[in-house]
Amino acid sequence: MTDFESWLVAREPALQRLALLLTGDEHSAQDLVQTSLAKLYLAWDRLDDRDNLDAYARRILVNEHRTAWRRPWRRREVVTDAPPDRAGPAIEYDGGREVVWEFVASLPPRQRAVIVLRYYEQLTEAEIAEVLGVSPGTVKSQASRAIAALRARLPEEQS
Amino acid sequence: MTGAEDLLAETLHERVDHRDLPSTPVGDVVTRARRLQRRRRVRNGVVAAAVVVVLATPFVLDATQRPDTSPQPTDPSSSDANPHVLLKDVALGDPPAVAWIDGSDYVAADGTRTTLPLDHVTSATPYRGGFLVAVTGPDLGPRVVLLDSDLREVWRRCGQGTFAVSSGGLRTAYSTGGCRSPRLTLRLGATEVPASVSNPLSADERAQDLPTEQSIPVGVVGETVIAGALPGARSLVVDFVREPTPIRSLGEARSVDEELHLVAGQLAGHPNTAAVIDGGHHTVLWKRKGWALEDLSPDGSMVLGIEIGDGARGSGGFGVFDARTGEVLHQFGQLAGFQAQQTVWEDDQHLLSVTTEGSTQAVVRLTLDGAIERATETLPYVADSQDVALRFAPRP
Repeated sequence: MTDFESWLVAREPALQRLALLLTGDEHSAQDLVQTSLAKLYLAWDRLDDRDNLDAYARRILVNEHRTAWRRPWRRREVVTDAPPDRAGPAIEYDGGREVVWEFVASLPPRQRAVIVLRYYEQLTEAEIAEVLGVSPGTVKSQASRAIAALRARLPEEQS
Repeated sequence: MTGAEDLLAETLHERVDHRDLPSTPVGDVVTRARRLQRRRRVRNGVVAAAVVVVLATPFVLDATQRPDTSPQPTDPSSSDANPHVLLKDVALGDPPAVAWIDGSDYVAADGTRTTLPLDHVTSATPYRGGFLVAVTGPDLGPRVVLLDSDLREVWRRCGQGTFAVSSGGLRTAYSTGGCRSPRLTLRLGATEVPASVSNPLSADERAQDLPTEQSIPVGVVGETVIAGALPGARSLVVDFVREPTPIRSLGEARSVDEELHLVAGQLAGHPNTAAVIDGGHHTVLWKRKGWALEDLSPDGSMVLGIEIGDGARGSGGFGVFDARTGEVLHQFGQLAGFQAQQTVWEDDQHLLSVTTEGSTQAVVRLTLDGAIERATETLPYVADSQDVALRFAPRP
């Protein structure tokens, strides 16, 4: 097994979860992960800092998602007879969490990435800023606005 | 964290932490990497200077007479004149004289058209009375489908969406597998089998397991297959008897001439350096930095290249080189707004290029001095989608 394959086996599930939070559906997440891994594969031999592979892969994935979202053909509506994917298998969400997820899903791509990286990946503002190529101040303001907007949607005891 | 922040973190974790998500096969990753690499080259080609405009325009306007090709190197002098030519306005000439794919139709070099009962066809080649077909889709890795003589599906497998056919069309190579394993099986079979064989589709094939990154059939030389590789790996000579032999001097192989024993591709360890090697001794005949080689001409005397610069930037222009010496014979760009998606030799004097422009696509014929004419009607194309309906099938 090559270095890349070993790394892929170990780290791909985490990328899948991150992609699913960014895209909201399994097919788009798989597509995003596959494209990101392909880009990582092409760059693999040039990567000197093997200690930061996870961060590099995460950066590719997040930015690929933002880039892909901007492509016009991505935003075309496709009429299909097939029913949409289920939200998730056998997980019962209470009302509050469903509201929270709907809120996350409604965020624009960059703000959604900030929230996912901060509250799922537990990255610092500086780390998020590096991933997204923006200033830490931008990260802070985007997160603050999102939290404020979320609080406005929640019952008082939950906010 | 506040209550809202805690709830947010819990929601995100609950949303995905317990989901059983399908893993991504290594083979699909490698195949997509290969597609990306090709697209990068194409994208480099988009910005090609319109150096051909001055040469091409007279023939665009009057393509009834195909201009003679010049044996002298073409002067790629640039011009500020950059008239906007629409693909639909390019004069229509003869249909392609090579096999090509038109949506789900396989069109043989003689124009015979067969509608394959499949969508998203990326390649197809006749095989044992039926067809080997490569299909893909936006959310689907490449699959190889075998159709029988009645165009019924015999099997569908993961695999490389690339086929190689020997000179004369006697043998066909393809790769399957890679869904759950980082290895694929390269297969070589007789394209046609005797009528006395009761089930031609199950007749013997030679097979060899290979790492995914070294499993792309590029050419067939006798009973051996040249398997191309992605960056970081070496192309292989596979004889199905001994362990495959790495071609030490060549990374990505792109084209093989069976008669002259030439292999064109990229120098090992230098993905931005083109090289042609002697297929017998594996010695480098010539190399040129900043170019990617695509296709050897049918007589093996020339090879088509695309200027890629350092890999990130390049003029994207076409170059035609003497295959044995590397001498530049012709060099030209593309019309402004025209994007070459796939370019192959039609014969030893003409190239065919699946070209997109705005919201249209068509096969375009280029002479070696850069003049163009259309070889097909134009079809709709969704800009930037890379989802072209026209492609070229493997050439024997």
